Amino acid sequence: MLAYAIQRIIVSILIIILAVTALFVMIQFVPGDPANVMLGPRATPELKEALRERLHLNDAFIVQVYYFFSGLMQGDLGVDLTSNRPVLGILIEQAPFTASLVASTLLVTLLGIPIGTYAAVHRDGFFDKASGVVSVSLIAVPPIVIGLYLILFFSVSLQLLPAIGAGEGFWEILLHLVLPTLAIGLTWIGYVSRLVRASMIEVLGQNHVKTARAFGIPNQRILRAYVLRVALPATITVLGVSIGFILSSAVIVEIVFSRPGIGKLMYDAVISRNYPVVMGTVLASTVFIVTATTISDLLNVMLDPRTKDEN
Amino acid sequence: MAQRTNKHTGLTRVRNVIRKLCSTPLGLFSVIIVTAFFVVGITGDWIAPYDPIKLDIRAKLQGPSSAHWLGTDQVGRDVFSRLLVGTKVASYLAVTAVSISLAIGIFLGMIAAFTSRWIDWSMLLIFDTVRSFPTLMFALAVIALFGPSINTIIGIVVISTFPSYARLVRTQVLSLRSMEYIEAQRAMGTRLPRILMRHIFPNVIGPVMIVASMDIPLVIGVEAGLSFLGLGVRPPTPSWGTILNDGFSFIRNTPWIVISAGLPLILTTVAFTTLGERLRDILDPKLRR
Amino acid sequence: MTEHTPLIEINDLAIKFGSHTAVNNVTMDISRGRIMGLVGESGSGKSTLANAIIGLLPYAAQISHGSIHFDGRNLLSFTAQDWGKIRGKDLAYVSQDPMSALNPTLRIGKQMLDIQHFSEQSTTEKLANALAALEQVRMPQAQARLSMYPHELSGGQKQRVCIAMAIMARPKLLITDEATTALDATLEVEIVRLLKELQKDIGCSMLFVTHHLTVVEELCDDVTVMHQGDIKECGTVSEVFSNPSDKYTSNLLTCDPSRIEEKCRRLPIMFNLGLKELADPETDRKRINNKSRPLLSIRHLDVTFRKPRSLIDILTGKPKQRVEAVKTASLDIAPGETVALIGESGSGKSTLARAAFRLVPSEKGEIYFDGTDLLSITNADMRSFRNEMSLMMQDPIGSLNPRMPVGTSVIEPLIVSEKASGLNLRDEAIHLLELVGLSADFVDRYPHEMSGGQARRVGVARALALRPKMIIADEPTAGLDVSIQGEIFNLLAELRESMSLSILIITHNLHVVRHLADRMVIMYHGEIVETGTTENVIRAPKHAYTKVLLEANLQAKYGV
Repeated sequence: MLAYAIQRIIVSILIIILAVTALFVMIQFVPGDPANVMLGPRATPELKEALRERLHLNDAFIVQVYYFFSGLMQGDLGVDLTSNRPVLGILIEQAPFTASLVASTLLVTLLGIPIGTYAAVHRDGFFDKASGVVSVSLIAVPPIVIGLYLILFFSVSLQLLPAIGAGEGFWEILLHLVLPTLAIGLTWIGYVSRLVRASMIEVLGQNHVKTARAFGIPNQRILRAYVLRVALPATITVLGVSIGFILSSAVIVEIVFSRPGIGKLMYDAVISRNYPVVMGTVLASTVFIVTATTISDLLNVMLDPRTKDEN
Repeated sequence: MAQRTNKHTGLTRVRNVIRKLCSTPLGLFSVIIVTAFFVVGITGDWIAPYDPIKLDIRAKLQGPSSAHWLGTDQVGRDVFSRLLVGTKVASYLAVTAVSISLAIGIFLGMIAAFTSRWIDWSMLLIFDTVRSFPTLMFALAVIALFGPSINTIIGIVVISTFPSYARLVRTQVLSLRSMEYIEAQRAMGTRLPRILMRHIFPNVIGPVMIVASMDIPLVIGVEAGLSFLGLGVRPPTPSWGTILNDGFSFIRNTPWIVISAGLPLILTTVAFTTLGERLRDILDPKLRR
Repeated sequence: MTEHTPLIEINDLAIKFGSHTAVNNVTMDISRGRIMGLVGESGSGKSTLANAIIGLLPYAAQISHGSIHFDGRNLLSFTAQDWGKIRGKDLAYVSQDPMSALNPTLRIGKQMLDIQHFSEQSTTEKLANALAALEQVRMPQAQARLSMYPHELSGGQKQRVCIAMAIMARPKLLITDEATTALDATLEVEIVRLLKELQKDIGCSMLFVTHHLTVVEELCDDVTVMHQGDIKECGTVSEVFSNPSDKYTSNLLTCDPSRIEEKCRRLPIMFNLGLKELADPETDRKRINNKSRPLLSIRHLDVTFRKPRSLIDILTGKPKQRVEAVKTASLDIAPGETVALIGESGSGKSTLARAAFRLVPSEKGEIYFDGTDLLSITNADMRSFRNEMSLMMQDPIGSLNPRMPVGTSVIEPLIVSEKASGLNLRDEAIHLLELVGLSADFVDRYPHEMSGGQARRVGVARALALRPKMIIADEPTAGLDVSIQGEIFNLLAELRESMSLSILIITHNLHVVRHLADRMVIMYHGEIVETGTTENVIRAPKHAYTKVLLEANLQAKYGV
């Protein structure tokens, strides 16, 4: 198991290195002069030259590679073109807003586990059918639509919940999190509940559950110790993958709800062609996502002693 | 001769699947909506009652009426017509992006399954790397570099979906490859291309198509999201995302634009998901009771 | 409730799956302290009946009428709570597939603790019980097993754990559903003896569900024969086996290849007992051409598998693990001869066959087919030899493409070897199917629309498509009911006479092959340990393993 964990971590590091390289290569493929792209066609030659100098664009390719990676090793993600502050600092400043949104969405997503479990145990009952229809309807609807409808219903008509900003003070922050969380999370509750239901039904039909039943082990205990334990790994994998999607959706949701955060930061950077901020954000979120999926894989191995070597 | 009987039964099989699909209300609903989605996507320009980009400032922000079923937007364009024509972008994207992605994914997945361990392993590493980019953030970065356009969106969708298809195909092929009927073919000296095309491909395509049909909502969602941010389809071309964006600015006073632009998005995404789930229930014997 | 009433009384019980009746008005008793064998072919409803007794019928099953009384109490009126009080205490169950019967995520010890949930004892005492039970089923290193996970145990060890769990409860009734079917013959005998011993110790009743007549004869006191949901016959083992009153039972007994002592040229089948024909040494001799060189000659063959190393193995410099599947094996088959390659699972017998087709790479040695070394020729040259020998895979249905109609599958070899031009393929397909006794309308059927026996015939038809000189058949009768085994046997026997085929049969089942094979080759742990004519090997086995194998397979009839 330890061997698997080490192997998994090595693979993750490889993935991060590959991803960073891919981003670096992508910059090289930008059509035309990067300085032009970043500053716009109307920038003065002096300004462009200064930018080139700062980004080491005038140096040989191999030197650029060196600067890029050695900078990264020291946590240098480049410098914001407008404010001249290090990108890393800006990211750290904005991260808590997005992190709280991702965390609360993950928490809400966990609701899918009891819903799916109940539906599987009472298969074909009213709750199963109703939750099935609702889940399937929610699974695919883009967060932007759910977000806008939530604003219409809870903020515009009922005027119950705030729709703009992140709020200050514990209760305000919490209140401001409700709608954005639901906008992303409803989809995932549906997804996780369907998944838990399907894997529970599969496990319930497995031979070892029959053995447990044949020995009169109480139903509650069979569900907890025998069925959920086998069905859970698939769910954890999905939760690990979901972090990437949740982070992605945060971009849209932060703009719909005018929340500060990584997504908003990135959007503004794209609009103002603040190139280092865009790349820094993608990089940081990729690293975050790889870490999250690695952790979920390792959790899986802890729950299921049959180490699965996917490669 | 036997070939002909094969095709014949293949056709009855398709007919059976469609009959089973339509036998439940939800299945019927999904078939109708999906069909409508593509029909409107093709005919939208002709069936729209108004010109979707013609301005009529006098008629701006009108509520739903018999003349404008879903009202008008801030420059007086008919929202219903814009939605109909906007279906074109959504269906075009759904078809092109998903089929390009499928083609690449199936091709690479088959290669990965049939090459040496090291190439397979490196391909997997690349798939996993591409998959670890957060879709929308990656999209924003690409758009920042290459500028917004419908082709950029196609490229983004293809890059972010093909690794999952490739991985799925690879696992399927690997499990099929050790099946006895494939080994029987190898024992009788069947060449690799024939094994691939005649014995493996037909058994792989089903599950992949089901996953692809469930990915179409994702494509539609990415387009709507990017266009909403003003980084997708450029105005004045109507798309569901741009209409949502138009409505968002007036959400407090004229909510019908957002409501009506959201409806087709909800309907199609729900329909494609239901269709995929029903198809899987019908076709996947493992889940069949 | 007294000692004189039967422990289980089943009265007029009917169980349905939708419109299909699985168990049809069954009445049956299980007496106290006796072992009841429940035998029947697949689809006879025997497992459904066993599941009904322990209240664990599948989701779709429905009991339409009848009653089951256990110790005087009506089981059909039981609530979940009532079941909880008797399952694992009065009733114990050992399931069909030991591989999947234990929870993969929990340690053995934990699972054995869990089933003592009624007990007031402390965990230490419960663990001691578990250890004692494992020792009672003669589990090697019992103490260490408690902290292991199921995947760390072999199939036979898992089955021992399941039995240990069942006897730990000291039940009044022990139900075993095909508990020994998945095991090799030698292991099966061990487990059957163990069960008998334990039953005597505990003094419980036992319901032993199986399709294996020989095991019933060895183990059981009473026997019930089921066929298509009906009970055909019920009585003591000695009565039923020596003097069956029902026609189905007597046919079943007559057709069981393991109960026919003399070597046969044709075996009797369920619907035609008169088919039986004894083997004639003279015709057998004429069939085999011993004068010319052997058709297939395997010389000192080595096949080694290398387990791929994981990333961490490479980084720590761990060498590749090698598994020697076949070790210096030599084997000859004369034209027209039938040879049986016998060994248990994992002995390397299937690998040997695959190596002959170059499906797995061989490390050393030669494989001569008609004088040419198959291991030293190019892929293109190999192609023409693939037309002269065919491989029949083990799983009758799984070896056919599920999306291809049978008619297309059987002519695949013609198309692949580019011999299809100028042939009417549909006629050819029909001709091949008729050759193996299937009607023309099978051409359009799909594999899942056939029974195992029919699919097996299709496999034979496909193997014959190119009129090969030799067929290598991997377990041709595995998974088939006894009555169908005879049919496939007769088919192969007819074909080898009419087409002068050489046949290599790979099997772990001696019963059928004993009649068919001219010679036997015994394989053990990758090595060929004994070769000889069928008669000599059975009469005077030399190698210790051959003796064990023969005892396990043929004991009931020949009483070693």
